[in-house]
Order: sequence, then structure tokens, then C-alpha cells
Amino acid sequence: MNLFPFLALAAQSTPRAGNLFFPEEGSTVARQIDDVFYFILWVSIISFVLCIGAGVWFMWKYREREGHQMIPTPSHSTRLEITWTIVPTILVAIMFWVGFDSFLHLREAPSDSYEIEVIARQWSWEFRYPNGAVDEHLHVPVGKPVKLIMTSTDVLHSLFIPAFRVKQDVVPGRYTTLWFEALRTNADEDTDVDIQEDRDLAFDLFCTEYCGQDHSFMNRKVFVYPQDQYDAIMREKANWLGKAGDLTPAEKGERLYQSACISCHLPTGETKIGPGFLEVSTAIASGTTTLEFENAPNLIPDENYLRESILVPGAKVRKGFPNQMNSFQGQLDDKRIAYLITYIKSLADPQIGAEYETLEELTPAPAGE
Amino acid sequence: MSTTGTATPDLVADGHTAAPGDNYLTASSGIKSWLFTLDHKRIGVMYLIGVLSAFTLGGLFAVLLRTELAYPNGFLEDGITRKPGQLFENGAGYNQMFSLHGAIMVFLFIIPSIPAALGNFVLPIMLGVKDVAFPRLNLFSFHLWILGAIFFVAALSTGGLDTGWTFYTPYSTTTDTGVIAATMGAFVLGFSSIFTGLNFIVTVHKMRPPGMTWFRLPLFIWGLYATAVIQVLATPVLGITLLLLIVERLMQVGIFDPSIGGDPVLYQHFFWFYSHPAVYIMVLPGMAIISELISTFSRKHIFGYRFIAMSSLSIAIFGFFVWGHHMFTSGQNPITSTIFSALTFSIAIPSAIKVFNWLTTMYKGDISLATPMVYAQGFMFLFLIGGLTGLFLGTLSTDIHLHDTYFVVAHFHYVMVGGTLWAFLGGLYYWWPKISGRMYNEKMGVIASLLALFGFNLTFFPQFFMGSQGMPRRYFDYQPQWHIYHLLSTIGAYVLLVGLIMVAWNLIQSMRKGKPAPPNPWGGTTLEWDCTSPPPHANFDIQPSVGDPYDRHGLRYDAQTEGYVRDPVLMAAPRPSIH
Repeated sequence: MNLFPFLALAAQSTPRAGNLFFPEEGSTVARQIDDVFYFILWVSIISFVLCIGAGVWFMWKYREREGHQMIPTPSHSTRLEITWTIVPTILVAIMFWVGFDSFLHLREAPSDSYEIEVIARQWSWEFRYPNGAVDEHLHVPVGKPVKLIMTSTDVLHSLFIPAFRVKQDVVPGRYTTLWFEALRTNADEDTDVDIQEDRDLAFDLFCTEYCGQDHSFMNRKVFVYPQDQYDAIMREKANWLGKAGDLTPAEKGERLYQSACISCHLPTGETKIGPGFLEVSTAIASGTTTLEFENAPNLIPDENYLRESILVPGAKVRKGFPNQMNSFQGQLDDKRIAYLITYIKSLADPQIGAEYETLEELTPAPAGE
Repeated sequence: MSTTGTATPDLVADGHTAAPGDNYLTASSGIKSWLFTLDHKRIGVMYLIGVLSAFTLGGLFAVLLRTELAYPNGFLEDGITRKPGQLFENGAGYNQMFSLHGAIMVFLFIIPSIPAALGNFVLPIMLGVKDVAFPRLNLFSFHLWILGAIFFVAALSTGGLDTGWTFYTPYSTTTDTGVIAATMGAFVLGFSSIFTGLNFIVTVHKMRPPGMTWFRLPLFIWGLYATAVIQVLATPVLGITLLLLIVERLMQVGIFDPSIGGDPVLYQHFFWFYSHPAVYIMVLPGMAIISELISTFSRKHIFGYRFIAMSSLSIAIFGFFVWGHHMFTSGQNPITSTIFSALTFSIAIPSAIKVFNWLTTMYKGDISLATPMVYAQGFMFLFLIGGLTGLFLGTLSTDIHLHDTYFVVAHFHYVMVGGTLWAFLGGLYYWWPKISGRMYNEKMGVIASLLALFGFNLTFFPQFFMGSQGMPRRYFDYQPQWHIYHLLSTIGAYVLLVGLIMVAWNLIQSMRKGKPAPPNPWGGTTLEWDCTSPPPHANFDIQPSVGDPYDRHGLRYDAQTEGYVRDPVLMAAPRPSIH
């Protein structure tokens, strides 16, 4: 759409860079939305200048002073008043229409969209890709419509990608969707920049519905790659858990920890939201130390305790902590839980899980289960 | 426009029979004579003290928030662990602080500020009657307000409410903080608001003196009347919603929480069904004050009286059908969003009409830039920005990008603070001589107003840019690229604070040192300027006769009393012809 050619600040076909009003133009819908914004902006600036200009002029010209008097004028004028009712009506009708038109584009995902499942929880994102990869960041190919199918495991969240001009609340108990098509990759395709290393190049992704203590830390990144590079990276991401030689079991557990647990638990003994993992790890290593609970008798922790705490967090709530954690039932399979337990145990005893596995490569986990 | 000569009020100040010194402040004494008074003026003054205390508290929290946000916190050297904030250890303290700020400002300050405080004082006098229709209900409403306020503030400060002022579910049904106590407080405050609205409606319908037809009501009363209609119709919905929230929390009945079968988006519908009309509870009385100020200080008859009065009513009515524009991203049906967007634009028009009418009133006037008028002009400046930026948010596609960012924060502060607070302060300075019987320092009044205007713009204008660049609201920490905007905003908040301290100081000083106020220091034309400053206990000894409320015929400045009087010689002279 270019309804208002005089407003097209830059008529070039390459994506606009960020400016005072907007971050860079990262998706196909951005330009149309920005143009609607600039249209309203110009109407607003002109209206503002006219009204305030008239006010200032009157205040000067008709200021109270020696020898000046109020000059009586009619106290109403139907023609004038109807005029200034109709003119704004027309202007806002145009605004409504252009906003509606661009909204339709924003809402209707093309039927061949690439679908990514999104799970939001306090206070992290989980993106599940069709090939089984799971990641806390959003990775998308350039030039392909992507549809996010989103739900929340706890309270309301909202997914916002400023560069794409898209936002959608994520509601527990139902699915909401949004779609976009990235216009360009984060880095120039012919350079060697690894955007996963140089994260400032990637787009921001924010939670914009207030969701509690660490709402402001529920930010991740959006990485945009050329399709071939994307396919390779996603293959890698889908397989890392199953590969025998790249990571030790403890390291695999640590990566799971980083995607699932890090927002509430520290690997040290200190409390973040929940207890730090070092204490339970030390207790398991000693085999004699007991832990205290709010709603269960004291106990010497073991692997069963860890497993239960991941799947049924409310069963045994540690002394001094609220029952706040959500269950990971159905989100982590047995293999992943085992790696996580290995990781937690390794905190007190680095020998645990330090050897590479020699097992056969696993097949990737099924998508989105 | 001409009016009937017979109906013009001719009660000059000296026409009063009351002995000098006999006024509502001195009519009786003792703490009980205030706490259990049935005098609308005293109730108004007590509300004034109450809302100003709440404003001070809410303002203090705002300063703490802005101080926290002056610098981004960032990370420790390991790049993973976050540093603590400037004032708060982590997000929890900050979240409680913005919840306190929002809830106190909305429920304890903005909503009752103009109707309950200034409205209670001014409405019956403007109407030419002794009191509101139900003085006992009026007192009860004040007592409820005090009760609700104590409950609310205690709950907020001890229970650590952290849901924001919106109490969005399911966060509010699951958080451990004092949601039930706070919603009970809001519930009681809601009843106070309903009773005041009811009282005003009955007063305006049944107690208008002979000659005061609907179209001779001063515009401030039109504004209060339209507001009262919203208060009575919308506030019960908030009460019901808050009760449902309590029922859900206490009895685990699934209403809003999806984990027990409820629907969280339903809560948003209920909440905004009240809270959007509540925006007009906040701003309509402000617009109504501005209509009075512009006419008085331009020394001119208000232009387009009927359009202004009807625009207040149409805003009150349209205001009920636009709540869904808060929910474009909530997951509501896109068709629903489209309808709400269209309806939202319809409400922009009556607001625009008012601005044009005010400007035309100033045209060819004799404009005095006294303190209340400086506030009125500040209002126009800020409210235009607030209103015009609302267009971006009513538009579907741009709202998707701007929703829940600092753009929204800036927009509603321009409307709520730039609109309501500026009108409230303008009205407070306008009626201060009437309320206190004293004149304040004019020069300091103007300087404080301009300083506050500068501080306000410095605080909130940068937030528009930050917001459209993507900075989400309710964030305890932020990315370094927004630092400059946040820093400017924090500096602005302190400038605003200094301006407001000067405002308070000026008023306090006036009570100690101010010159006694004449009955009509500004050349106002409505009935409250006909009785002494401060007014006698019963307002009027003789039933005043009523004409066109904005008729300035015969009004002249009297240097001896430093106020305006109706001059019988001028009254007898023919009216000047209209050019």
C-alpha cells in the first residue's frame, strides 16, 4: 500500500533502518504499519500546530491590556460548528480504514506458513520447532511466512517483536497465533558473522503483558537466517541431545537447565525464586543430609526426589518457599529428566556425568510433543 | 446572543445580609463539626484534603519509580547474573511500587479529585441552592471514602499488592500478595463514587432554582452531570468484577482462572467495561472546568454552549462502547476489535469539538493570563497531545505495535495528568479564593504552573519515542539503548516535583498571609461568584435569580475591592452590538 506517496519518507525497496520512531523494518507488514503511523503523525502535527498556534496568537493579540476590551462575537454558529464536526469525522474515518486494512494483513497468516509452537511460562519462552528442536530463542528463515501457535502454562504473557511490528497475548488454556515474514537476515549473508555469538545483531523479543517478578527479564532474541543455513542450524539443534560425542551428560543437562530452570534456580546455593541447586546436590552427594519441607516430613534427597520435584513440584515444597513452580509433566521426556538429574548431581560432584556417552545416536524427539 | 434582562443575577456582594465573618468555615467549630457536617462545602474541603494526601503519596511513589529507572541495571561481569536496581533489590519491589502508584492515583486521586472535592464544594452554589439533594448520603459517601482509602492503603502497603492497578487474571488469582484486601478497598471506594454520582444526578434534576433550565446550567455542572451518569452506571460492574475475583480466590470457583475452568479474557472485558468509562469519569469534569476558565479569563461568553454540553453527554454515552480497544492484542476476535476501533474513533470527535469551541471563545476576548488560565492553556497543550496520540492507539494496526509499550504510558499520562490534574489545579486556583477566602501569590502561581508544565513534558514526551521503538511498560530493567530517554524522563519528574511543591507552598502561604478575597476576584459569571468568599453556611440568603450563566452584561472591575461587581448603571445600558 502506498496511499500517501508524499509520506513515503524513503521510497527505496530495501528495508528502512531504525529511526526515532521505529526500530528497523524487519518484516513484510512493517512498512504498511509504519506508513499508517506516519499518516496519523502528520495529521496530528498539523492539527496540533493549528490549534496551539491559534491559541498563542489569540493570547497575544487579545491579551488584557490598557485600552483593550473584549469585542463581542456571536456565541454560536451552527455552520461553523457543523464544519468542525464533519472535518475531524472524515479524518478519523480515513484513519480507521487504513488501520483496518493493514490489520487484516497482520491477522491473516498465509496458508503455507511454517509453524512454530510457543510455550510461555514465568519467566521464559520455549520455542518448539517442527523438526523437534526446542530452544529459548526464536529462529526463523528469511523470506518465509512463519506462524507462531502460542499458549501459556501459567499467567498471561504477550509476545512482542518490535522489529516485526507484531504482538499477541499468550493466554493459558487456549491457543493464540501470530504470523510474520522476515524481510532480511540479521547479518549480511556474505559476511561470516555468527549471529548466535554476536547477539546485538539479532532482533529483540519481549514479553509485554505484566507477568510477575521477572517480567522485565522475559526477553529473548529472534535470529533470522537464509533458508539453507537455517536448515543446518535447526538440524543441529534438534540433535544435540542425541549425539554421543559432542557433550557430556552433565553438559547436556546444563543446556536443559539453561532453557527450563535458569529463570528460577541458580546453580549455586543462593536463592533466586526457588532454592539454588547446590544445596540439594550436596545433600545427595553426602547421602546423610536431610532437607526440610513445608508439607512433607524431612528426607534425604535422592534421584526420585528430583524427578518428583520436576514433575509434581507441589508434592514436597522446600521450607521457606511458596508453592510456585509449574509442573514439567509432558514437557520433558525421561531422557531429558535423566540428563537434568545428572547435571544437578554434578554440581556437588563434578565426576558425575563427566564422561562422554558411547551409545547409539538417538532419533530426534517428535515435534511439539 | 441576548438573554432576558429580568433573569440576570443582580446580587452584588453587598446585597448580603450576613454579618461579615459569618461563613461556612466559622459557622461552627470543633473536629466533630467537620467530621459529621452535612454542609457540602465542608465535605468538599475534607475530600480535598483526602485526595491531596493520596496524590502526595502516589506522587512520592512515582518519584521512586523514576529514580529506579534513571539507569539500566545491567549484568555483573559474568554476563548472566543481573545487578540489583538503583533502589530495589529485584523486580518484586518495583512491581509493588508501580501497583501502588497506579492504584492510589486512579482510585484515590483522579476519580474523586474533581467531582468529589471541587464538585461537592461548587455544584450546589453554582446551582444557587443550599446543599445537594441528600446531604446525609453525601456525608456517608465521604465516610465510605475514608474507610475505603484506609483499607486500600493498608492493604497495599502491608500486603504488597503486585498486580498493577488492573488486577489482571490469572496473575491476580494466583499471586500471594494482598489482592483480596485491595479489591475490597476498591469495592468500598466504588460505593462512595456511586453515592456521590447519585446525589449529583438528583440534585441537578430536582433542585434547579426557578429560571435555571437545562440549557442554563453552567458547563461545569453539565460535565459533573455526565460524569455522575457514568459513575452510577459503570461502577457497579467494577464492584461485581472485584467480588467475582474474591469469590474465585476464596472458593476456587472457576471464573477467570483457566486452571479451574475460567476465562482470563472475560476478566478483561469486565474490567474495561468499567475502567474505560472511568477514563471519562476522570477527564469529563476536567474539560468542564476548562470551559469555565476559558470563558471567565477571556472575558467572553462561552462559544457553542449547546455543542459543549452535548459533547459531554455524548462522550459519556460513547464511552460505554469502546472498552474493547484495550484488548486488540488479547486474543479477542478480530471482528470485535474492528468494531471497537470504529466506535473508538467516534469518541474523538466530541473531544475535538470542545477544543475548537474553547479556541473560538478566546477569539476577540480580553485574555487575562492569571494562574487558572495558565493552567487552562497548559491543559489545552497537554490534552491535545494526549488526545492526538490516542488516535495511534485507536487505529488497529498501529495499536498492535504500540500496545503495552511506553507509548501507552505517555499517552495516558498526558490525558490523566495533563488533562485531569491540570484542570484540577486550574480549578483549585480558580475557586481557592472562594474556598479559603484568601488570595494567593499570583506571580508564584504562574511560575509554578509553567515549571510543572515543563517538567511534565520532559518526563513524558521522551516516553513516546521509547515506546514506539519497542520499550515495554512495567519493566524493572531495560536495555541500554533507551537510557537517554529514561534519564530525561527521570530529570523531568524531579522538575515536576519542584513545580508541584511550589504549587502547594503557594496555597499554604495564602492561608497564612494572603489578602482577603473579594466575592468575585476573576470576573466569573456563575452564581458562586455572587456570594461572599468564603460563602456563608447556607450559601444564599435570598434565592438568586438565574439567567444565562455566561452573561457578562454589567460586570466591571472595581479597584476598591479588587474584584468584579455588577454595576447597576452598566446593567441599565444597552447591550453592545455583536460584530
